[in-house]
Amino acid sequence: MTDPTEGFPTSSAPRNEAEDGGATEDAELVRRTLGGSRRALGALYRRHRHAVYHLAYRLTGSEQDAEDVLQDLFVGLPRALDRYRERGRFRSWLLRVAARTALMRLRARKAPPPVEAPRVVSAEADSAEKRIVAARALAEMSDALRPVFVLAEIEGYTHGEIAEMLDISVAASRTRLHRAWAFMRDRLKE
Amino acid sequence: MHLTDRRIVAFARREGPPLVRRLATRHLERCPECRTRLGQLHGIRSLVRDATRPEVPDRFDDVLARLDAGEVVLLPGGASEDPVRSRPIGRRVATWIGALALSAAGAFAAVAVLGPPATTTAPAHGSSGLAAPVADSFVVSLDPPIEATTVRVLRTNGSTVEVTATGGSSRVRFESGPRSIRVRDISGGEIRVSVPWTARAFALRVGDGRVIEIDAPERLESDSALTFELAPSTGGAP
Repeated sequence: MTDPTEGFPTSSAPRNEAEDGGATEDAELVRRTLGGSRRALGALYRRHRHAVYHLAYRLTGSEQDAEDVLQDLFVGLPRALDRYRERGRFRSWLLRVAARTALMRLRARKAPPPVEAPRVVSAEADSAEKRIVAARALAEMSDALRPVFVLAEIEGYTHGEIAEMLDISVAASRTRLHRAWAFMRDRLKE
Repeated sequence: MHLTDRRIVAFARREGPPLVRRLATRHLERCPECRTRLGQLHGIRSLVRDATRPEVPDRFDDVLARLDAGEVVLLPGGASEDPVRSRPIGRRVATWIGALALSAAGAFAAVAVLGPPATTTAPAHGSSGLAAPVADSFVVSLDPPIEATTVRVLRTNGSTVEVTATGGSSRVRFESGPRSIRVRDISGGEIRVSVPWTARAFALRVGDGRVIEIDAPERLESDSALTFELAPSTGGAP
């Protein structure tokens, strides 16, 4: 299933923000959610659930954890919106909260979950196998390295932002990314 | 002479001083091997992104059910300048302040036992969401003897439990888990205990056997204070 609303750029490009029209719609839905509208909350859920879920999955390596993060995020959202001060786009704010929620979950768990074979939707065997290997490699990456890799290379955060989110230094973020890349290259070399 | 792996990654991320980037660009124009490595990096990034997009279930009905059950989830902040950084992410503080008197008999242990939620509706957690520590007793044991100890309760939206101690000049070492926390090497001050969000009843058992039961108010707001006082032991367990 493709995600029509997910538009994460490569880390070499600025993070993709919602189009102006989407940002306007988000603002209206946020306003109505703050007013108690469950329908508006549901609309926000459907607009952003793919992005949130995929981010949480990448950070935690677990579909169960990703689902829990998605659920917790939207159960807590009506209250958390009091803190959303409309600086920047709603989606950016939401994903940042989702990332922190997923990272909390990561810290809370005692042992990494069993590595899950992702449900691959590609019909081509070769590309399917490559995707499985790549997904496994990410899931098998240590909990110290995976968040940095995901936030830097998939989600497009800067090292300064990552350092703040993970409560590490910028230098540590750079070092961990370097190690993560070494791990990934080693796992994916043919 | 080739670009280092770090330099390639930094180049792909458009990081580094402009002069360094210009030099890297010039090198890449002349070096097919480094261009290949850069291309591999982009390829791996795209592959990982594509490979980690599983189907997303639509379970908004479960979200509504949890909201209808009155479940509250505190989320961490979303802004880089969010003041949540001044305290642990995702936690808020509900304060118990109590003076705990030591028994002269020796070792002192304070035990916090968390009861089940006051409501009797169906569990709000379902198969996802919060872990279920509220369904079980949760024990905090504090060793060794602590004098004039205060206890603070932090709210948490997950099953993580942490205990920290402040006051005086000591920091505490602790071991935490989903069911118990053992705190060591405290020389005084306050002990913070994270409890699940939906905890409604608390009990403190002190080393001389007394049990102090406390009911949290219906809505335990951040930084609200519950106070109790523990009179000096008159000896003997209750």
